[in-house]
Amino acid sequence: MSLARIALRIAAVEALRGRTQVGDNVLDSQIAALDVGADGEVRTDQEKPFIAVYTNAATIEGADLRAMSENGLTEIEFEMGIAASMTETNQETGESIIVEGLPGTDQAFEFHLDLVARQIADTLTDPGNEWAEVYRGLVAGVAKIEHARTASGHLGVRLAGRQIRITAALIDDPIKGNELAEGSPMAKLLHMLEGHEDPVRQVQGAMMSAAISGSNEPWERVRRNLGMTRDELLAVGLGPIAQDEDQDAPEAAKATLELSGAEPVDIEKDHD
Amino acid sequence: MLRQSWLRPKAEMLAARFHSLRDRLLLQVDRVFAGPVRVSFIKNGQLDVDRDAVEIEAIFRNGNSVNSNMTGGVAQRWSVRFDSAKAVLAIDRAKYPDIALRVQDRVRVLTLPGQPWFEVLGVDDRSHTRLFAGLGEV
Repeated sequence: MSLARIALRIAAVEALRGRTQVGDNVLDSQIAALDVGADGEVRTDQEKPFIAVYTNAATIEGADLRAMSENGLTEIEFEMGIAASMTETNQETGESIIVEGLPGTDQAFEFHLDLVARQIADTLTDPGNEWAEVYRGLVAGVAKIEHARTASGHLGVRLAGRQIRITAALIDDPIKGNELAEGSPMAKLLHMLEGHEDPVRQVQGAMMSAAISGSNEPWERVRRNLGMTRDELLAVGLGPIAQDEDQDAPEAAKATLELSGAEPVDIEKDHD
Repeated sequence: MLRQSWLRPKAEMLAARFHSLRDRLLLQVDRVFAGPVRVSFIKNGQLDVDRDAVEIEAIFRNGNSVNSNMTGGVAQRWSVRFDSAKAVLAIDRAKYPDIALRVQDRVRVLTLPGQPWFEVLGVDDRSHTRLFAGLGEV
């Protein structure tokens, strides 16, 4: 489980859209192979240079008791690529350009990739970008940043890629049933998804909200946070009374106060 | 002197006994399998003003599509995947003795749907049969 990872990818993708050289072609967790059609005159957005955002492995060490809400150190990947088939080709002459005046040569591919990498960094730190603000809120701290590059030209297309891999501590996932603090990154994201123009984003927001919906008694919250057994809760003195097998925590209606040397006193809830 | 002959600017190609047989064979093969392609010559990413585009007949073949990531393989670190196929252009040198291809040059296969452009990724001009060019999608 990790709503934080989902939130992070959504925030990163939304923040980057339209803010870099690749325009709107920012992909979330792309699995299917990118395949560029033969007809150079009808290119879709997906057949252009891209950024793909992934969240990869995560490691949590020394979690509290049986807590499952920590996200630990997570690998966030920004993979950028450009292929010869993703440039714009003049159908008469066969010349290709990345943008007007920049031919699609090997050195131009590298130029493009480094420029996009720089634009990613600028976007994620842009104070005026609300999605980036959510991204920053979800990342508690960066442990390591790695940059890698690759290229290949022997398999039927010339292409080059670059990757920024950020190993970062993500904030803990919100606990089911706990109300989100107003202004928290997750609350902000859910609010932005609710009002998003893309209906898929609205559905994602609704499903994320459903995953954390509910209400917790204070003692339930403690159990959920830590994955605590019933006995453990009782042992630390936070559980409902021991005889309450179901732990359904009914509202207290009557109590008896017994003090040594005095008659017991019944205390009843005032029903007015 | 032998040494001087090495230094000759461009030595005339000598004929081997099989050449006439080869040329007849390729002529017949091309009559059936060759198709029109347009070759556009590129230098530093732009049209090479010294070499005019030509239309020739040659054999184009496209291999099976291969799924790989940007390394050209399956390295775990790289996630985005591509489908691409190796393609080859085979030219009869007896028919086109003057054509010389270089990496970057562009080839438009006029007999495929969409008439796609390809770029020359490699040239094998040492083969005793044909001039071969490995092509990549553009």
